[in-house]
Amino acid sequence: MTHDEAVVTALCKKFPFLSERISVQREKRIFTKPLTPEEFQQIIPYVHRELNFYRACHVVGTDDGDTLGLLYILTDKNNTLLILRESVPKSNPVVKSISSIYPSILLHERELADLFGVVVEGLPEGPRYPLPDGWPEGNYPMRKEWNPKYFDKNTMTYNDPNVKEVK
Amino acid sequence: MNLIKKAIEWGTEKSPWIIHFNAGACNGCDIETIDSLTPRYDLERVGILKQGSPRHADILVCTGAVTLQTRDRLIQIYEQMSDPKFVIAIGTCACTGGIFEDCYCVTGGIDSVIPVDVYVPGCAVRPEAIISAVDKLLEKLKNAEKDENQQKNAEKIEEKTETAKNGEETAEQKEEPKNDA
Repeated sequence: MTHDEAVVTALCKKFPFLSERISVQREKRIFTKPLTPEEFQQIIPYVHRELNFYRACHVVGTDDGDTLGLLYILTDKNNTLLILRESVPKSNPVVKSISSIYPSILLHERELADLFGVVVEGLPEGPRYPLPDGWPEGNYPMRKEWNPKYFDKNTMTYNDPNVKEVK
Repeated sequence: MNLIKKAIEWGTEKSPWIIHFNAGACNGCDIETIDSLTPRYDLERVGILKQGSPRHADILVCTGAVTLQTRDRLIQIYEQMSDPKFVIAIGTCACTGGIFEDCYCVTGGIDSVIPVDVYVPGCAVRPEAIISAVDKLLEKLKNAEKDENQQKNAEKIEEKTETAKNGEETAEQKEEPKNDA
């Protein structure tokens, strides 16, 4: 049994709901299907302590229409990437911070909060990152409905003509 | 005063001091800028020194597209420099905005904020190109002084001719009412 398969079987044994939602896409690349935040919070401490995925490389945010997707990329000493996909509804995008387990993920979570408007619970107070000072509230430039055409960079205001017509 | 001005011009021509500012570059052009100053290419041997403070510098060397966060800082630094001051835009991003043009947080090239004298395209720029840019800027400086002198002379000549013409015109105008009367 290879290392990848060992990881997958261990995860499936511990968490039965993962059984058909996790797969080895190619060597050293393990992907999961979108998980709910509750399921994700169960998996993270186990993966960190028992399976020795000691390092979080990156968080990728995606806009999937009605939902926002978050890809947490974790690695271990064999350079195996475990990519845990989390999915939250756009109307209520609330996620718990994992920066108490992976401190390096703090900056990425700030980016998620700024660029995608994900509400990250448990994020310590601090300066905003990476958007500039004076950026208007409620504008998330990485969401698909946000159009840079309608953003005035001199006055820092966003005027979408389509939204006004609807109102 | 004329002597002081001449001394300043001589100093800026012979030993222009530069300040380097990263307006939002990926660091590629910054490395090349430092590379052109350090011993392999060694611009310092001809008197071009890198300064820490904008108040001591003659040339502002800018890299990268201007982001909204650095826009106000770039203007501040430009205003802190003493006259005469010059700007070199290094890299494609600094010239036009490059691949970051129309991005949500980028205003465009350096010339979208402050006037630029020399553009150096390239991604990343070669140190030879930077040296060539500095050379061209110095040539431009010398020519500008010549042009200024020529312009001043031309203006003087124009003023003389204009005053002469005006004198004639006024003389004519004065004559005209007399005829009417």
